[in-house]
Amino acid sequence: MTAAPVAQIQAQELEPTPGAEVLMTGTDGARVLPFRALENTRSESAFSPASESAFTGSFTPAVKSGGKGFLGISDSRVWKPKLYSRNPDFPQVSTPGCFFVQHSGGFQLIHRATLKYLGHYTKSSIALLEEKYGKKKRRAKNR
Amino acid sequence: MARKSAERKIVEAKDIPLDVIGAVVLADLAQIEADAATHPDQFARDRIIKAVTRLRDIAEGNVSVDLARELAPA
Repeated sequence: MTAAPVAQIQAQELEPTPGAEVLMTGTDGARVLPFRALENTRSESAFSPASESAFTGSFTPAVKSGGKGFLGISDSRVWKPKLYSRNPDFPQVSTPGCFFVQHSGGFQLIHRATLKYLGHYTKSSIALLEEKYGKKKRRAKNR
Repeated sequence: MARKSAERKIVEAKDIPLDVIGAVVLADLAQIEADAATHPDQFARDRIIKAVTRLRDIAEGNVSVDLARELAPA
């Protein structure tokens, strides 16, 4: 049994062959199915950039992506410190499109455009929001 | 004469306006963290705080670049 020369096999591969004529046995005389370049493969391709990390197994350390995060939350415009506050008992943080209403020892968050009641938040939770997103307290300089 | 405030019904997740959903998520996480401090079980308290911290990191995008790419809107 002699192996067909590589050049001969390659020439045969270039010819379009209907699937019915191809022998799948792989024995002597069988034709090798030509590999065609797959177009527009996204999920099937194992070599797309998105899936490379899955194959390399490399761990990418957590970094601030610089993007918007989930639902645009990492965008710093979500919660921000209040520049001017008339009432110091009210939350010192705000978010665009909403306002607080004092209610039952806490505050209700109301959507300005639709007046929907988004939630009730206690003073302790407001304090946490202020700590994370409020104005940073300046340390007194030692003179 | 004082007016009795009507009972307001909190909106469900599907009814939250899109422009404020991020703020609501962060505020809810802050509320969970504040309530966790009152939990009598210290271990449960720690678990809740760890979970909240991790969820906040995910929401703020402090994740790997690959995951950030998946989470970012197209």
